[in-house]
Amino acid sequence: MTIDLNSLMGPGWVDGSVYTDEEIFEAERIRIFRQTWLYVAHESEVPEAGDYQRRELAGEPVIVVRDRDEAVRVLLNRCRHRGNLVCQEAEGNAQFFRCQYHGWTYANRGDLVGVPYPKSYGDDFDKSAMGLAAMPRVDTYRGFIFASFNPDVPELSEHLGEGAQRLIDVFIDQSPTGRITVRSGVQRSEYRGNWKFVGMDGYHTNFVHKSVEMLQHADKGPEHGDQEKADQADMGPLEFGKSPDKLGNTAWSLGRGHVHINNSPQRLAKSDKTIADLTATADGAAYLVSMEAAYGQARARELICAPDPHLGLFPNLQIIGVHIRVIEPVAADRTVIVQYPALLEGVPDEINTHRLRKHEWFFSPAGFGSPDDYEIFERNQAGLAADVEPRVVLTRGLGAETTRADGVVEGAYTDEVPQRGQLERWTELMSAAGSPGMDEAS
Amino acid sequence: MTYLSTVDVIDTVHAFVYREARYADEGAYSRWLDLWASEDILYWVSPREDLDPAREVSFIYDDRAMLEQRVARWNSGFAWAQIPRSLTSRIVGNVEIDETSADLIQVRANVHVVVVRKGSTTFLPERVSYQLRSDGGELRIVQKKVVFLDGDAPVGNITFVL
Repeated sequence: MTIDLNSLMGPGWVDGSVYTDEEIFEAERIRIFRQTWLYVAHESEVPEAGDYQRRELAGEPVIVVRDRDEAVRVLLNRCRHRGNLVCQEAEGNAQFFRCQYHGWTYANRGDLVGVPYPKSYGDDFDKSAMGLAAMPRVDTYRGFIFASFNPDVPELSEHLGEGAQRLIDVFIDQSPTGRITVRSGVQRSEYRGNWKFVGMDGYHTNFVHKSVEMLQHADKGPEHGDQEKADQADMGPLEFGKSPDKLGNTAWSLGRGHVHINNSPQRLAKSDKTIADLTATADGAAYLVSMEAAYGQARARELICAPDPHLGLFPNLQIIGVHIRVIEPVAADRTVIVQYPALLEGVPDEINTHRLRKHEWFFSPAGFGSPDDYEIFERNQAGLAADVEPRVVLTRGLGAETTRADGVVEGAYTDEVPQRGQLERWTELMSAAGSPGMDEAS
Repeated sequence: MTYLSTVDVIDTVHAFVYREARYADEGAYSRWLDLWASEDILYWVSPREDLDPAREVSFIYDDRAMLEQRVARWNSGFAWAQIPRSLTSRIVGNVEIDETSADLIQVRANVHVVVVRKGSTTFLPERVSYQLRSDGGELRIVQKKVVFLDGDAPVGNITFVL
């Protein structure tokens, strides 16, 4: 298939078919999802030898497993015989994966170790060449496991870059021991829209999340409800309804499609209140003490008062609030979003429980925030069907960005800097020739 | 408990849970909220029966203050995921009264919710347990726990009364 990318985009615009065309979607599966690094799981989900998790990577069923030598492998969940699933459970611990169709058995490092009645395959049947296919590259950053189908993909550290690593640090260093656990359940949402709508957009907040702004500003009038009750429900600390650009917030493109919307200025302006609220409880005070002991007073307070990484790592990972969010493209017009809240090690239980409640409030599939995002994505997909005038406009703040010394392109919070950054990476990967192959497990 | 008073309790509980289901189906959010006790309530929607809410994530874990905000959001006209509203028809069945004490009645039921929105029809099977209390002669919900039959599967729009 030939896709003429030049006809699909120009400075600050992209053709709507990039979100609706099934041929483009199939090309994305090969050129993006089989070419670059993908987030697969967190190490705390497979802590012991034999622990495994099933995952989907743009439609490919895989098993993330810590093998008997404690190495993390990412194996295709597909028998080398006739392609049956070899692993049925969502997670577990196993020495072997056995295909129930004809009994082929694989060790948890992927080797084919048993074939029933093998004689009929002849003397030249080589079991060592028939292990479960493995993703040839697996690497981690602070417990985040990434893998690639492309043996020649650049190093993970190069792919992530300094900027993204520092933002992942913010997420993990909410723990005074610098460790998180991702064992608090999973939330899966499906919407009828393209996976690339899950961007990083500082412009939508006061419009898509108008209901939250209304609840938070009950003091504006009786139609907004009861301010005292709103305060009791603890819907903060990010206040909606103000102009985010005036608060000093910014939007970043970190390179390689990674993006960030930086709401730290808005949060740091309320540091005194955040610390006062935290230390009003014994658990909160103890948490602050342990954080200051671990990171020093200034850094600890910065971490606590501006805790939201709001990071998008192209193509399939976001780290927002207290959760890890994975994007599973299903079709051009269908996407599954998987959310894994993370708990902090070394903190009072109440701190973690509070994290979960705040997450549920906004991000749950039944929450006050994310479902409105998904609704808007569905309306966007429906609107793009009107393709007589097919251009989607991404010019907000075009030309007003600054490129910092560290290479980060930064604009105002509501500018479409992240959208353009992601599109640039999308174009780069979609333009690259060849489709990478697969390695044998070894 | 005499035979007659047992029948009275069963009738009263059935009428109450059917009424709750009707208010939910009608989108009568404020009247639905009035069925709840005025404080110390829990509205819990969980993907599993045996989930530890202190360590694991739920769909909903509302106290009275948050439940009031939820209802205010539904009534606001700005909850886009409910514009248009999810039309529901729910059948409450297998209603059993597990235990009655001086102040609390424990009830469980199977609830099958059919959901119609934007031209598609979906089906949501739930197991529901209630703790009801008589406040001034009227039953009120102290706790409602909803457990999805398949809580790990991807869900679509579930921003209506569960």
